[in-house]
Amino acid sequence: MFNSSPIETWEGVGVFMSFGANTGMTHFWFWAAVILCIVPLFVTLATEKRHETQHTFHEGDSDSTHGVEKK
Amino acid sequence: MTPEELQAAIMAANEINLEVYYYWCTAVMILIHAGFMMYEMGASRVKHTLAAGTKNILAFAYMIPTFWMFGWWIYLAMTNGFVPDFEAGAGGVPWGENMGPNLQDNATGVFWGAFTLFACTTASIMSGAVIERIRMTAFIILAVVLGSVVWILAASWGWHYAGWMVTSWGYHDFGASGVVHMISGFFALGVLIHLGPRIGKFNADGSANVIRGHSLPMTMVGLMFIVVGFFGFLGGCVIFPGTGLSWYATEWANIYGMPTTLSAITFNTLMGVAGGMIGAYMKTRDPFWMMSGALCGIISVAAGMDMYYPGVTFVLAFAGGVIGPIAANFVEKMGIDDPVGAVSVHGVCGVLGLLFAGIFLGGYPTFSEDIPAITFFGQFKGVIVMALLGFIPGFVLAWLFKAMGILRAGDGVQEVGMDVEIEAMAYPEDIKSN
Repeated sequence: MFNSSPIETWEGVGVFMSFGANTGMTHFWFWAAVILCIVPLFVTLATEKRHETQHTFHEGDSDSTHGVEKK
Repeated sequence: MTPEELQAAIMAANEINLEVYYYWCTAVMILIHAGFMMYEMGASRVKHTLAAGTKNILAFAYMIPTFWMFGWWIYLAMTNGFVPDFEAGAGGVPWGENMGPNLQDNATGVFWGAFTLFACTTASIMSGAVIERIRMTAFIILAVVLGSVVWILAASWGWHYAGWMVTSWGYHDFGASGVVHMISGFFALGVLIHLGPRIGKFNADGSANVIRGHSLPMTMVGLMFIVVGFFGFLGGCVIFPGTGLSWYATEWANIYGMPTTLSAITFNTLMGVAGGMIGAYMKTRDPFWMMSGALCGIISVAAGMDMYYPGVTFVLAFAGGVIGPIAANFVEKMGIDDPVGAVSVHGVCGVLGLLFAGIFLGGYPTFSEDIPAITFFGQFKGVIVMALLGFIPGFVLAWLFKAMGILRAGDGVQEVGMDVEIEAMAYPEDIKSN
């Protein structure tokens, strides 16, 4: 990253994307991924809440059974 | 070239072939997800179509990072039960050497990918059961728990050569009748009990109405995609020969180390599909159930399809195709609204799959004399474990989300259609279902 490759040659290389065995950096990117999975859930919750508020049920509205048939 | 160099070159070629094999198995398995998406969108009414599709996409998208974060670790570490073996799990730690690009490890990435797609399949199975009324946030969390925790815990116990169910009971579940299908079907049942039925599904006297999806052709094509994807799924259940990770130098093996061949899997996959389709056709004459019958057929024979005689496979799959719709009617009579029959197709036929293997493969030896042979009783105990392991987390989590008020969309949202939460329309011309 930013011109700081942990390897200078490919010979004998195994792991190469570990920030030169810098566990702090691997943990940083791991937790960044965790956060990016969690944040959209809160965005989705907010969207759901908005639509739940906008679309309250009114008795007598009949479209709720659209497509329903007696057996 | 010396004999040693030749041997090393052959091993290196085999390692690459293994990598290629599972790479493409994973790609083919994505068709299962595409198929479930079509299946569930077709089974939804017009106003709910995109919500069903979007939930499938997000289940897929969330499963991948979460399976990298903790799913693969669970598989490696939890073979003893609920107490982790940290040494065994070291290879699955997401910041470890194996869980990323490593020029000396051709295997971990492709195995992780194949197992991730199995996890996606479990979420797809649950998503069909909850269409037209579950909220997105609750669904995503349930999908992650099912795919990246529960199914892979079941796999660690019963789909791993060192899993305690395997070593204690000789549990045999080659094609995942229990660890994928029963787990997903019973998890879905636990969720459905708290989620409740779609509006209009049941009358005041408890009788059920039919709610038809908007596109049966889309559902049918989707199911055929799933059948194609099963070749990746079941191909991924076989261990490649001739590498450092293989059971044998020249023979394929199942995940328990017992020899098998891709030919055996091919015979029985196709015979299972055909038996299930014809069985469901005979029982229902319903195109939806004919294609779902293909799933019933495969799932009913999956546990033992590495060993069955094809004639046996056909008969058992036929039985699965008949029993699937009967079980779906029973579930409906119990007041559970399962629009795609996930509980019956995957849960009940998964039970059949495990028990059939106990009956028809009883006495077959396992890969080691230290591990009991396959028995009916061992399979029966496996049914109980899989049912509980699937049902309890789904039931408890859904109860929790219901208590928090985030499980089920309000009646108003259901009335205008779940697509309102997606803020898009599947058919802008406002085509209606009926």
